[in-house]
Amino acid sequence: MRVMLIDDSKTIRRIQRSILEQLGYTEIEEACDGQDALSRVAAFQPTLILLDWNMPNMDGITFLKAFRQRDTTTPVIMVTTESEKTRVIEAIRAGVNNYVVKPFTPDLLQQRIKETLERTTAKA
Amino acid sequence: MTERANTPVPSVIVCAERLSARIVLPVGLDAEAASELSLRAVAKERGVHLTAEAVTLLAEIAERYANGESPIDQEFLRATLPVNGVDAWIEWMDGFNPSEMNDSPEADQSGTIDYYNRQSFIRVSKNEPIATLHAHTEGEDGLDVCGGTLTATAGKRLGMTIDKSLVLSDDRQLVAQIDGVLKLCKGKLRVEPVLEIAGAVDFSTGNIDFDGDVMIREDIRDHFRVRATKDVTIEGLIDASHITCGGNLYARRGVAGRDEGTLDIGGDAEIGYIEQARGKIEGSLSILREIMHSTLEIGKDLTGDAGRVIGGSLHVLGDVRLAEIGSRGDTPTKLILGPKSELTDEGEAAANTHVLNEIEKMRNELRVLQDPTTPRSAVNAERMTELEFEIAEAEAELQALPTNVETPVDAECTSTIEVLRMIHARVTLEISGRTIVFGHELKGPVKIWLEGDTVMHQLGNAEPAPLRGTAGVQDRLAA
Repeated sequence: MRVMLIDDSKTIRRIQRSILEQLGYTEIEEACDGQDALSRVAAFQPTLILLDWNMPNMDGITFLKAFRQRDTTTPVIMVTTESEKTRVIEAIRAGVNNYVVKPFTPDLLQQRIKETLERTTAKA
Repeated sequence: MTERANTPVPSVIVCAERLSARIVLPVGLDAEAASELSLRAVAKERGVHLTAEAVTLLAEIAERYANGESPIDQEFLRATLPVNGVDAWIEWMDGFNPSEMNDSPEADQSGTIDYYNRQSFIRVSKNEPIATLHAHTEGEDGLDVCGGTLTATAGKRLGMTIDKSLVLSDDRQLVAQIDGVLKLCKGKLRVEPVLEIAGAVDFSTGNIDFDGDVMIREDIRDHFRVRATKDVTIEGLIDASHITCGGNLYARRGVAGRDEGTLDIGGDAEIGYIEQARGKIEGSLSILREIMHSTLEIGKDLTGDAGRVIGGSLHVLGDVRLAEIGSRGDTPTKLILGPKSELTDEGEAAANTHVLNEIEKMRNELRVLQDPTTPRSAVNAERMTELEFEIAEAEAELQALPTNVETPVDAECTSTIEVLRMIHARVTLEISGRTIVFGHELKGPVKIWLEGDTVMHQLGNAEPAPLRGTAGVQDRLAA
């Protein structure tokens, strides 16, 4: 399992990495914004992406739209402070598979990751 | 009359201050007038006190005149000037001159200067010579050319008084009579048995290391050390610093340790408050206000009728009498009573307490951020996530730490706890192998003690009863 973490906050990336490592995922790539992620995503070939919305250079939703043009199957979990219903719908339309609102607890993120992967596996 | 008036005669001139006399022999003196006897007569007539040297010089002058040298105008006598006395002075032994104290720390080989270790006072030991005292001299009078006295000025006596803490030996050495600090203040030299720091312990004083009592009038700043073999009294605040004393500690303002401050007290301590400090007090601790989030070992009693213990872990070998233990916010607070279990590891206990304290701090911060009045910004959301994560990690760490809950303690505990106002929920008492956790608050006054195998309590004047079952107490007996 290869996971890409896309968040401009180093702290959040550190937390996500730690949670993923606890779940047994060790192949982890970090990107600090959408642009950075786009430049590496083809080479890394992630099997799961955790994506922040608000980031400099390229925001999460722009990245997602660009990414979904080339990859429609890799699950993406949006991890963001954007909690308004319209924003959630916008993200779902753009192709996110799950949604976690910051602040989140480690348990919640673990649960969302498991849920998302189970759903993806079931579909496959 | 006119002829006689024009006849040349020798003359002697004495200068105004009688410091010299000269003889004038004009041209045309007859042999008799220019003879040695005549010259001596003229000098005497002028009031000059002739010395042997002056007489010899006059004889030479007369001879030169007889040999045709003329005119002659020559000084033949000078006054003997007075020799003034010398002022008394002190010849300091190396490093003992208070006015030339060099308190600038030197760089080590790497060029690093440790400003914490500068010394701004001079320590002396009993029977240590600190200086040699040179007495003043009276001087020697002189003599003017007419035989009058030129008075010498006597040297001044020592411009300072010497305290009885120093004595003058037969060989005129000043010897300290007590251990202390050498002080020269307002013209008085003395050895003070107490090292008094007039201001704060900071970069102006450096660390304090003193054999005796220490009095500090202001604060002890972060990271400085104070060590004394006897009592330490601090009128200001003790910041995140380190205090070691063989005697008692008096710090009525308090200790703000910020998780770095340490106390190592050989005697008793009387302290205003203690916050985030750790250490050991061999004697009793009298606390005026709170002990917060600290890890302390107290060799005797812990008392404070208005004192509260909030958070942290205290191990008390004697009795406890306090106003409150724990807090309304249910801060986990641990009190270990009586002799320490051989199997209880101090480091583990300290680590346990440290993690508990950290969790509590993070929870407090999280509560503030979660409060509806706090703005929900992205930064706050991120911080809340971080706190949730760190709390979860700390709790996992706590689970992994060995606890004292199931640790047997062989020695019997005879300590009693008396709480005047309240024991709050999440207070843990460890008494002789039992870990007692309060599920709810217990209103005082209440007294708790061990009777046989049973932890007893007495509320006010009520009948004593087992503590188990009161205030949601869980009494976990060692296996």
